[in-house]
Amino acid sequence: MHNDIIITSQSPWMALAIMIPLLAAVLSFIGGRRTGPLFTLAAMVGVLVSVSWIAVQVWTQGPQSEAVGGWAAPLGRELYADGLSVLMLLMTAIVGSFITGYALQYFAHCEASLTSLSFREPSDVSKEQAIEAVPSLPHAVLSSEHSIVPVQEEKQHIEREGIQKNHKLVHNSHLFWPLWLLLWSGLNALFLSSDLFNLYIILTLIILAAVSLISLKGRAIALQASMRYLLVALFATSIYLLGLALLYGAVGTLDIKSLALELEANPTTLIAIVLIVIGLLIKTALFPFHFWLPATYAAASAPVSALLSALVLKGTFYILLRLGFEVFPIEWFPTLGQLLGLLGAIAILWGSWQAWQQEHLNRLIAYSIIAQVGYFFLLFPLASNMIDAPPWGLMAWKGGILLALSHALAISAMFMASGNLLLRLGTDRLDHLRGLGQRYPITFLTLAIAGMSIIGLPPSGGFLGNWLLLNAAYESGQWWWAGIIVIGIFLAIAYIGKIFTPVFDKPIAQSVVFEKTPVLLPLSMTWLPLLLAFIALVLGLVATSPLTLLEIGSPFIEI
Amino acid sequence: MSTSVLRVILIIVLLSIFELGLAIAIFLMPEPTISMTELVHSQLSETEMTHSMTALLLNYRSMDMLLGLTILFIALLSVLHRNDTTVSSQKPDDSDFVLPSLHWILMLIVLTTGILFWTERYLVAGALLAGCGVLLRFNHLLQPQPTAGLSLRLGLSSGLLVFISIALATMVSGYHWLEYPEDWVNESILLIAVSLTISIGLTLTILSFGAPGISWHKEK
Amino acid sequence: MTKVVFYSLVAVGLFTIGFYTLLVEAHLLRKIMALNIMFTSLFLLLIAIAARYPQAIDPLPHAFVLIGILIAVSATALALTLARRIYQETGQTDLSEKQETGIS
Repeated sequence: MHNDIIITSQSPWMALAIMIPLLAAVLSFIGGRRTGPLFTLAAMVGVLVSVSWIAVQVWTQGPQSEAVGGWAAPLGRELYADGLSVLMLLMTAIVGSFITGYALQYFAHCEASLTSLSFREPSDVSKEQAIEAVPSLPHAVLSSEHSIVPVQEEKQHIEREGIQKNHKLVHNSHLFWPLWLLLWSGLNALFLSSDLFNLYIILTLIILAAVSLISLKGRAIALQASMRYLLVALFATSIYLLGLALLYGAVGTLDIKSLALELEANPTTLIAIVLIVIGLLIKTALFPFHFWLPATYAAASAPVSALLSALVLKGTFYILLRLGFEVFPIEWFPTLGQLLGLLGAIAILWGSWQAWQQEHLNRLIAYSIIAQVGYFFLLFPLASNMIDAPPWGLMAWKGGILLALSHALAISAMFMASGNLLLRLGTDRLDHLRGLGQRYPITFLTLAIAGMSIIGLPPSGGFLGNWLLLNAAYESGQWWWAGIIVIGIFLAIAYIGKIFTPVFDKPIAQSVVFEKTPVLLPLSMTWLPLLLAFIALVLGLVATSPLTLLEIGSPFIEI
Repeated sequence: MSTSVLRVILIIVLLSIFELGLAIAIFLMPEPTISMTELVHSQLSETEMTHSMTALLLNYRSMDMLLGLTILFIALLSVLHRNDTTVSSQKPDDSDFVLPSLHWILMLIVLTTGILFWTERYLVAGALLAGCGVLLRFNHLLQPQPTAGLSLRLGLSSGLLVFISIALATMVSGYHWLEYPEDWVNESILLIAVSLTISIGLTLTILSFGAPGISWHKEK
Repeated sequence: MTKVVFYSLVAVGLFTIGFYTLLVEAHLLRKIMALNIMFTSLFLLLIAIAARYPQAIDPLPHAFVLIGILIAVSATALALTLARRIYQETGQTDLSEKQETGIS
């Protein structure tokens, strides 16, 4: 940010990227329940166009900045876009569009299954109840001869409960669209913002939208999860604001560019920055602030979990990147970098171990996110030696961000595929996936390909990111991070593999294989996640241009 | 029981350290390196502004205001979860809150709102309107409804709509985002302010009611 | 300056009290109130910082606080609505049952 020629643009695309989803959300609110998908699709097109234009402008002209209201910083606000912002905007737009397409069919399917639930065979219910009621029995026992038939009232209760479960989600699902649009608007604003107080407002916006999205499901577990997330996130934001207030008192401005020039190291600013960083770390779920994540992501419905894990987590990570590499005094880098790297390493180890122990697919994925977030933070120690601006700094920068991008693609694909399984089977217990490999080939292929990117197998984006980080570790002599990365890869193989061990077993007697509804899932629900996972897989091959884009405006290019 | 007492003691100890750190931060706070005050005061004399903070916000920090309105809108959406059974089961209870001289109070409220609006304190005016709405509810003049009609929805979103429309209109004419055309600064701000006040008033009322819609009470 | 330091200390003290309440109290309403206290204390801190030079009061933190109050109101409204839904669903007023450590 500091040494490039910044073009003050009069072009509207940055502002449009923020305002289009906002306008669409308001219009869909006025228009009523049915208009949600329509406005969302229109907004999707609009945002894709705007973001592409911004990308083109940054690619050809360099970092773009626009003064909001005609007032230049530090008095007014500025919108700022460089390579990193553009990639984040593109990631949000692309992943968001895929999830939009998936969600369209997801909610429609929930509605369809709601009506078909009342026509279900009681025998299906009994087997489901049987298996749910005795989770620890080995599978050999659960053949049809030994099925435990519940009492008649229980069956009806389950049916009623099942209908109620879907009923609440269907009843509220029309709110998904304005809330998702508002979340999108907030994310775009976040990636274009250059003022810390502005970011505080945007963070609150994102929190409130995310909480409302989680609570859409309507069931007690989802409501409690969203409340917990709200409390934790608002608390984190208050810590951030406390740091902001102290920082403002010490420096006199909260604009990122001015801060970069004026920030000096003294006790007050140190404490202020520690507070700001902690607030952001809580929201990014880095160990030891990760405790809220598994319960929250496992309780939300599939499109919401995909959105939250792929996009919202990256938002606060982006702020940390900006602060860490542009604002903080250079003397703090080595300490800060090693500390964040240490937390990241613990996150990788602990998260992977917890993921490996899970019995439910959604919770496994959620815990694995903790490990993956740890990977992102390895970027800090590996890129932190900027005093001489060595080449491996840039490599680590690219590697870490590439990891974040491909993670967004892969993890959303995994959540969507897991959602498909949940819809079909009524449960996401791993041992219930036994023998279903041939039955749902596309879904499992999606999980496999996304898993490959998360593990870091070539030619995926995860592989290239890991490779760049490993290179940086080797060249800078910080071999211990390289060790952590490699260990993490093996751990990832373990927990991803755990998903698949029951799948390729010989399928047992047909009677145990049950589906909630015999309705076939619409094509888009199975193929969209597969496509997304595929993009993550080949990202390593096509990543040269995006990575060069990262150089524009990066803090490493001033030599 | 001892474990929870231990936990509380641990929390108190940690928080005391936290507090100490913050106190140190405050005592050792240096003089700010940038003085925004001079900057602001020099710029402020350019435009004909009164001392109202809201007007300042609408001009210099219009993006923040837009985002703030969006946040209010999200809170509004959260109330729309209420389905029919929960809302209609709320019978107006026969509380003793019915005020005999309600019309005087309403006149005062309208007067105060006008004054607030005149002195450009738009947010406060909106909040006062919402308070008026709650008062009307307690007097059984307004009732919560399970759905919001079109006019109510338009009123609720008018703040955002006007703001965005003006922003789009100025952008088309080539200005920076949210920059008001020179001759029209005061008019634009006034327009935004009016819709802002209505919007905030209605939204806060809805949020206080906890139900998606309002209607006038049929009896009376 | 002493006045400013005094109010800043009060603000920070209130923040810590709110923090304590958030951690220790289980009832949802109390947690929401604790968060409100924390945010309000931060507004006080900002205003105190703004008043450092009595001859030229800094208007920017005042603008922060105004927006901040609006945001806090919205967040509280959403939290209360959510708490109410939880009560309707579960009959509980706290977030008990399973789950790990942390603020709950």
